[in-house]
Amino acid sequence: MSSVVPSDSTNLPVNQSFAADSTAMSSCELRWTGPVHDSSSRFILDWMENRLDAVQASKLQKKRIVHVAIELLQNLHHHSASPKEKIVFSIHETNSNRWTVRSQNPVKPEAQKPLEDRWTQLKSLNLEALRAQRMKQISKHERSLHGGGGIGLNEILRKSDGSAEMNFSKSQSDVVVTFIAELPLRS
Amino acid sequence: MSLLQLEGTPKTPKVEFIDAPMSLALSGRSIPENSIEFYKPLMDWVDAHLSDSSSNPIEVSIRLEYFNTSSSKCLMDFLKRIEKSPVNATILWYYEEEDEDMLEAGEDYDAIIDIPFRLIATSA
Repeated sequence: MSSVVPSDSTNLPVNQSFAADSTAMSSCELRWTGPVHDSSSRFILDWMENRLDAVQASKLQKKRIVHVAIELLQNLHHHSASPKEKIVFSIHETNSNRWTVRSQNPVKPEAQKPLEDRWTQLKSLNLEALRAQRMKQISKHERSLHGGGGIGLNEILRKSDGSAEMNFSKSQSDVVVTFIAELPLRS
Repeated sequence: MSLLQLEGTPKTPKVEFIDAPMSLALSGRSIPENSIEFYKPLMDWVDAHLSDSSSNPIEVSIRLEYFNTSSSKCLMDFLKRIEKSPVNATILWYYEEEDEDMLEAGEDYDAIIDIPFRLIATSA
């Protein structure tokens, strides 16, 4: 079952092992659990845009936050392994006027190592080098099944100014990957 | 006259391709779940209509608010097709003046594609 928690109904700390600022408390703005489809991602993005206008996010930061969410939601839609009921997408606002966008989904165990290697390689690059690598990737002919060619991770890192983390954990027999990107609401 | 016209949706751009006089325009958002499927008819139209070297110079207008990574590959394919065609084209790449990310994206395509680019800041 999917659920959306309104912004004022709950106060939850961001999982401290993933939070960029582990000392900051945050309020849950939105939480979605369960499979992500076209209609659900559209709903979440509409909600985000309205909410970002309401909290007076700057234009550029609004676009960056939505952009990160687009990539994470499309990852959840296309690349999550089963059980899809374990998918979680959430947004938290920290007390420092930042939004933390978090996604969590099961992955096939064999996907963990390549994903970790790719992430480690990207995390070692500065923003200019990430931009150069993205240019190289989009100019190549190869593409993934859904067309991206693996540029999504790069985009998440660039749009969040490098403030994104990826972690793996075990939940019963499943391997679960969590992405957390933290972005300021104002430039 | 041949026309490819698609209304924009929350996830796909408005498309206006006209062959007489030739003009190509994309605007809005390009964040479809399956970009390859969305862009296929656009590529086919370009292949079918941009083969006449005697045609007048054309302007290709791209005014996108958001595009996802799979669309970025499709845009590259689209621009490469125009580059390879015998048509004398100019790309008009519009970006909101505060949107440095969209400006960077235009600069990146400009660096890769051998077609004149005009990067045009808009106020809204």
